[in-house]
Amino acid sequence: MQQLDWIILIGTLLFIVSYGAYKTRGSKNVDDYIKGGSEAKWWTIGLSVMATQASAITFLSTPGQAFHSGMGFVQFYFGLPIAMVVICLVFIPIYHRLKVYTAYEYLETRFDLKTRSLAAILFLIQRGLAAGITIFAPAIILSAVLGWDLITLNIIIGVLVIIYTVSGGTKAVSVTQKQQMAVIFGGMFVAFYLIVSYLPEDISFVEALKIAGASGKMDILDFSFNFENRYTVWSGIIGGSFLALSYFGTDQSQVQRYLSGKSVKEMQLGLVFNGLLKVPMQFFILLVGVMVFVFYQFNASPLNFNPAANNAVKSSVYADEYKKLEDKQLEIEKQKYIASLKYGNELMNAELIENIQQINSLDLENRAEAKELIKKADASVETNDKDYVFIHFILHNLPRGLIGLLLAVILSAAMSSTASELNALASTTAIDLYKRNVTSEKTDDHYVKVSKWFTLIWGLIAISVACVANLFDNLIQLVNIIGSIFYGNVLGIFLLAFFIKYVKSNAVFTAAIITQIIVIIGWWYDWMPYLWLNLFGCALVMSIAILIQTLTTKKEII
Amino acid sequence: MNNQKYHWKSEYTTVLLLNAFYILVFYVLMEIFT
Repeated sequence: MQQLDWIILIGTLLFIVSYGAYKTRGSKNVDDYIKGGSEAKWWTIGLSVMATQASAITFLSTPGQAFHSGMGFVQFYFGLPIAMVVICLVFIPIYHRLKVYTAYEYLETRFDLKTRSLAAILFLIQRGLAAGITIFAPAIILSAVLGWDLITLNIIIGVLVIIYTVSGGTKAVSVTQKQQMAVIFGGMFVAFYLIVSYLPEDISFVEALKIAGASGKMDILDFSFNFENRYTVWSGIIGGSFLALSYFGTDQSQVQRYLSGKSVKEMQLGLVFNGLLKVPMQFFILLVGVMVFVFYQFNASPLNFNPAANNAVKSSVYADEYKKLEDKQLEIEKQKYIASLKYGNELMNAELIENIQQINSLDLENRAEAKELIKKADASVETNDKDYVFIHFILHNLPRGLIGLLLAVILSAAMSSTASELNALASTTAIDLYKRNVTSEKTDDHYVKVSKWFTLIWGLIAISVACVANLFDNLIQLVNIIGSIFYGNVLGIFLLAFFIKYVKSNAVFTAAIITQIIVIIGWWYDWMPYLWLNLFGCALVMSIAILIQTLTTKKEII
Repeated sequence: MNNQKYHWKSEYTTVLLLNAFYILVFYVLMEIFT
């Protein structure tokens, strides 16, 4: 990091924070603070929805995912456009007609207060923890790579977000997200251009794609019905639709983005915008990772991209063994260079493809051996280095100034997601719990102040979670598990509300409680991989509610 | 509220068709480069 990088990084972040706080200062009423005055245009909504979903991990992890496993991850997003259409058709007209501030408010209109409060509490538990991880996940990677203090980094990211989110509420979140998206896309396009320009002179972009294809990185689509393959066209369309429907339709951190729209049409167009751009955007981020892969066919790369892993093994008794693997890697890289250059300059040649694949197998074996040694040296260190690939490339190859810009991209993404989360957590606490259960006879000014206090409190909770996250093994996975435990149940409640008129409040509430207990038991006894708990919870709450309603209706008739 | 009519808009058709087109483009790219 040079002085110019620091100037660009600090300048970009401070400008966004100050502009957001200044532009949106002094919200007078709840509508201003929670719905941004209901005046957002479709492009603001669309960018805001995309910025909320794209966290820092999207820009750190996704290129690394493509580097190791190719472009197949794009299939995960195939269901998202379908979910956008369903939300535009069903969810938005109802939310708008009832003029709700939160998604859970609708549940009281349809069922009763206790169902609304239950859904709101489930959201707060899950999203409150997730907000901490949104800060922690990039902070742990940046601190490992740059040597920055983890706790300080957590506090800096958290405080910057708190400043403008407390001050301007929803409007500040969307105003800053527009600038953050400009920084994010600007930085990613520049990075992509530079990676391609760093390839050897006689290797064009098309030839680079050929080299990636020979190494299996261009296997974009998988039409098989093999459940062991995590990403297939079918799992993307079916599972992806289901996940996107619960996230965009019932998670307040997303619902609040489109509720700020000027009209139903603007809200719908905002989600249409997301449905049109999401797949190409993810494709582009993955393509950046594939180009980084091609770049490292012609340039030396570390055996493991996580510096902490390399340091751990090099300072252990396994240092000599690791050195031998590094020497072997140098030989493999020489072979890679020659084979890739030859293949890039020739027509498709089966013999050359086989040669590249053999070298890749050697490369993978060598890296796997290196991981074994690292594990022996220090079992606690992270050997899966996919999150470190892109940041390693940035720090070791980009010119002065651009390193600062790309770090601004990563921190902007972290801030944009966290801001939406804090904003939604505060709105749900203020509207669904405080206003509805504690008090309802206060002025608008009072609720604005209360919302600001809740934003601050949730911000401090998120920073605290981020600061203790390092003490737990696999905390990110734990948060995903907690999400899967609750998400299915909440989506099931909403689907019952929208589509099964026959089911009434007591049946839903009882079913939701029973479902939550069963899902927790199912998770505890490991009945299924945790991602399937989403579908299980949703199906279970709907079935139990219909059953209870049927039984109680029959009893009443008798 | 459950008796609402759903209004299909041309934008939804565009979203679905364009995404189907993306998948087609991915298929062509895959065929060319693998």
